[in-house]
Amino acid sequence: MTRIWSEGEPIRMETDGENRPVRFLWCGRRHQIQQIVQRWQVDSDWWSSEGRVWRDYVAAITTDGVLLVLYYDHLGAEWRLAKIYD
Amino acid sequence: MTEPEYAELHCHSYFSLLDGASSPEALVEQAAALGLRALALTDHDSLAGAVRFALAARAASLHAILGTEITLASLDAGGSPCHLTLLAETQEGYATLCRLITAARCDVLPPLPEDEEPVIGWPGKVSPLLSWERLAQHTTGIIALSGCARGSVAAPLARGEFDAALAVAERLREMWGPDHLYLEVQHQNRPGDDLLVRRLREMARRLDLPLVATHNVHYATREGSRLRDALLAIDASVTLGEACRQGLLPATSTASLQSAQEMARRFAGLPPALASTLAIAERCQASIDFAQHRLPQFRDPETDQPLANEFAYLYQLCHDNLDRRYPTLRPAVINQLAHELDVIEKAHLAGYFLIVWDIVRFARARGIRCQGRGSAANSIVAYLLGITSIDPLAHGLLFERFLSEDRHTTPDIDIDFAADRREEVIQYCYRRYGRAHTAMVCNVVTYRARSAIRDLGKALEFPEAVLDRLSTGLESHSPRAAAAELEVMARAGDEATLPADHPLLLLAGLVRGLDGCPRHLSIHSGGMLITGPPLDTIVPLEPATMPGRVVAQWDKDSCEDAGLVKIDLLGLGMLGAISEAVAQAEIMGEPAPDLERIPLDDPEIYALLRRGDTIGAFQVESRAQQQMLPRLLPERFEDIVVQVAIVRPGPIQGGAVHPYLRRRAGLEPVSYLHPTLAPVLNDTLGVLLFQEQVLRVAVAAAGFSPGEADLLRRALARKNSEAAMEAMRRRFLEGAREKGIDAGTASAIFGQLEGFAGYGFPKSHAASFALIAYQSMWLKHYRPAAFYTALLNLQPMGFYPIEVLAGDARRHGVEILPPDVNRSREKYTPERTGRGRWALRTGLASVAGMGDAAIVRVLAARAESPFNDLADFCARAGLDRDVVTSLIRAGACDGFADPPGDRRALLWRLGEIDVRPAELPIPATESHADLPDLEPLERTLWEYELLGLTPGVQLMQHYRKELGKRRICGTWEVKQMARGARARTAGLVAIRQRPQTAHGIVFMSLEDESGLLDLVVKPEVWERLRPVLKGALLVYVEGEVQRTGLAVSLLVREAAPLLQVLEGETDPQASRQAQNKLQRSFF
Repeated sequence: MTRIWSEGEPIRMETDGENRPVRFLWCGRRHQIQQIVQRWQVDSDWWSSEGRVWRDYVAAITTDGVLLVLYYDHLGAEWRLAKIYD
Repeated sequence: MTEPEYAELHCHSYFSLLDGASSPEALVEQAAALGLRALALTDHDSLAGAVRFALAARAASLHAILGTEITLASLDAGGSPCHLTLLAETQEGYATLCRLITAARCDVLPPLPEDEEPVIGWPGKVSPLLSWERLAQHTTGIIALSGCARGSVAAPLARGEFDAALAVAERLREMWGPDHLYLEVQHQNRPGDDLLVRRLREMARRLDLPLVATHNVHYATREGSRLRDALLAIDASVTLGEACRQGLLPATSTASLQSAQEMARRFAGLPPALASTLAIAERCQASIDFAQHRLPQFRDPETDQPLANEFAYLYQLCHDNLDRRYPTLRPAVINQLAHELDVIEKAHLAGYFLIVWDIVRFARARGIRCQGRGSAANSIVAYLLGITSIDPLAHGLLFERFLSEDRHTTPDIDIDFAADRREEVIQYCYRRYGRAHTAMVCNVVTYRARSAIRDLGKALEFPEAVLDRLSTGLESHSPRAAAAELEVMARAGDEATLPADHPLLLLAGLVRGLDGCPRHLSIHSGGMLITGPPLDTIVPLEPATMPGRVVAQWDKDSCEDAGLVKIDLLGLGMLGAISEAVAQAEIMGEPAPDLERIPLDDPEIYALLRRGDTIGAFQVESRAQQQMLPRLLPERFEDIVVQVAIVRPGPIQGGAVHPYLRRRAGLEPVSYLHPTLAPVLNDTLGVLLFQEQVLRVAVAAAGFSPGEADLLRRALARKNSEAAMEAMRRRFLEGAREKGIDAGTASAIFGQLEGFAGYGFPKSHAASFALIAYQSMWLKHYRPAAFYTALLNLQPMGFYPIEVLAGDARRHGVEILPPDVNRSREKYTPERTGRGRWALRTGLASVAGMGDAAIVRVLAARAESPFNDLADFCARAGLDRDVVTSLIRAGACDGFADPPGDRRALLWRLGEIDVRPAELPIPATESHADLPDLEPLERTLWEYELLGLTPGVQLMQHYRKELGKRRICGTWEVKQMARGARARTAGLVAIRQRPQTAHGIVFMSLEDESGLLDLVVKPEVWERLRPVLKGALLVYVEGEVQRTGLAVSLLVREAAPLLQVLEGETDPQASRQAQNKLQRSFF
């Protein structure tokens, strides 16, 4: 199993008290999270020359019905959008 | 809302080899810090860490649960093995655990023969695997949890095979019933965890089984996750990158211990799964304490019936032997015996003494030399039973060091046996007590600095060359110290700019984490467990690499802490050598007297000792001992006891050596840190030399009871946790205050105890060893030929390479004769020379390339008739041409040469002979080529290469003339020079040492034809000259003569490879070749 840690698009995220995503701004539009489908964490590649990857991933559905994968990057302390499934 | 509570029931320590990354102690500490209700240790198929875990938990007031994660065969044929978590609910359940782990590890082994037949088909270490049939046989007292994501139920579920998972769960429920089986749910934030938890909930609902939350912990805190990744990569022998690509590494770093709050958050929708943890923890009450039922009942050796009264038997034995040991009976003997017997009876240890007595009796009957060592020699009972050879009364030994009334731990009897015959004794124990009750204690082999750097460096993709450089450049042995060294290396130069993920720093961090981490279990050098109940109800057993050998999963400390009694059956090369020397002397017609009974006051022996003429003798031969002897100047047996004990890290670190020597020489007055110590340290002039004195000091200065004092000694020796040491220290200072000792002095006394305790000998042990030292000195002096024969035949043993032993033999009038196909036997044998003296004939086995079969052929052919010439030898011995070539070069065919000893001519002849074993002797045509004579140096080099020593002359003799021309002295001349004189000398590097206690100073011994000279190399000089001093075999050195009393050494300032120094006039290429050859043969 090869893991590819592509960089997502930076987004501005509002979260609740437990750092769960609530809504975010992307491409000038506001997206509201309706349901969190799954959450998982990645902490890997600390040994590689490309550097460590330490992220909390969230698969979520927005109120528009779009399925997204977002992650919180612990090292950069920022949220990014990894994938959109249309 | 009430505070959430949680008990962790699934946790791996580093005894889950190459999977867990934390010590049991670290896990306990973190669990206690998080406020967990309980912690279970569930290492893979192992209870190796269980005792340490239980002790740490007791100290931290944490409820400890004993368990394992067992590797179970797949339920359907062909599937991959899965995991199942088992917890001991009751004491009986603990026994079940041991049985199951033993079964998982040993079921594949072939049946072991009861006698000494060879074991066929021994697989060695194997991957554990438990069958379902076995599991079904042993379920009593166990609570089973269904396991991790690789568990029996979860694994098929994760693959979406609901029916398969259901089948397994139903099977498990049949075996355990609904009260003892839980479905285990885990959530480590891995992709897929959410889904798996949902499926397990569904399964639990369907089967009406309870759920329990666990976290499958693999390290105490998040920082441990990297080390675990690295261990997983090491386990698979791949780099971290490759391990990641192969999917072997978890993608997360969340397998650390979690708080109750965190677990409550993870399982917010499943409160019953959390409640289960507490309910299970409450139910699990097994503990580890086997002090009550440890030994088998002793069987009367005559009738083989169990003894009704072991104590009465012991009592009788002791009294029967009184006459022999004490021909003139004194009240002190009777009193001491009565006291010891009383303590032994109260401690229920009569059976233990009888078992040991029986083993020693067996060995003696078989002619296997043996002698008790260690603290047992403090006991008059052990002395009367013949277990030890030292009279405790004559030497003022302290029984309490061995066994005291209020002692909480078990005593320890260690016996040395002639190393070459120890196995017979071990086999006897197996026969006498049965394999179900007898096993060797394991030795937990932990990572050392080098292995840690090598394994981790490979995982981190460090180039091989870099790893070589890093690990050979290291000064330290422990991973912890090596990590600090690596950090210094990394920071050298650019401290400010070094990023935290610099590869060297990354490596250093991981190396530090491996400190104390086990690599594998091996067989302890001699610890034997013999138990009354079957062993596999007390501790799991697993196969060792050695055929037929099964080891307990506990090391000696764990056994001791669990209250088990072990007997150390150790192999001591010198006892074998003494036996052999005595046998040789007998053959030579010069039998030695009974060495057990020789008087210990022979002035000639003490004169030798004072000169440091001790090479080959037991204990007193090492470089450090030889330096000490002329300063300590032993005059009586007690001085040898001191001599044996003083060259130890304990007295050295405790700062005892110099005061002792100065006081002994009358250069300074005897003084004590406090007057209360005077009676305790009187014998050793006010310094701490023996372990018993640690006990006596604690009693005298701080009012400890003897048993308490022994606990203190153990704590000091084992380097227990800092908290435990601090408690001891407070108790000591408190006690000292009550005795009116001021705080500063009390602190100083405690400091001395601390510096000493771990590395000192008990006096009893030193006395036992001193006796063997004396016996070996006696043989060396009065039966030298027999003695050197024995030493050379039992190599490797002792401190020196055989070349040094051979040189020493020569200097003591025992010539070493080259091998001779018409005279040599297999090994070295004494041979009378023309001048009526004894010499040693080198054995055929000493010639490189001579295998057992070749030796048998030579001896058999020779038995028919001696070999006439080389052709006859080749025809009848039927050896390969290469082997014959080696024999010729080593001098074994010199008798065939004409002129005598012309080996080059013989080699030429060999070329003309058809060496194939022929039925008809082929008449060899005589021819003589005009060959240049073999250079004496070359001949010596050949011998060195093939024999590892040079029978005729010491190597340096060939260079003496050249050296003389350059005014380079022999070592004997250096020894005559005044203190501070500049000296230039040269020799063969025989020994190189860097003792941990010497602050980086390197000690070397340089040999030439006259003997050994000690070199002292300071760290800065070592740094500069290391390539020379480490690389060259023959070195030239310059330095200053140091003298302390009669001891001489050379403080090295300069050094160079000798051959380079001589190069001006000899042929440089030849000397380089010579040098290369030496390197190859020597290392």
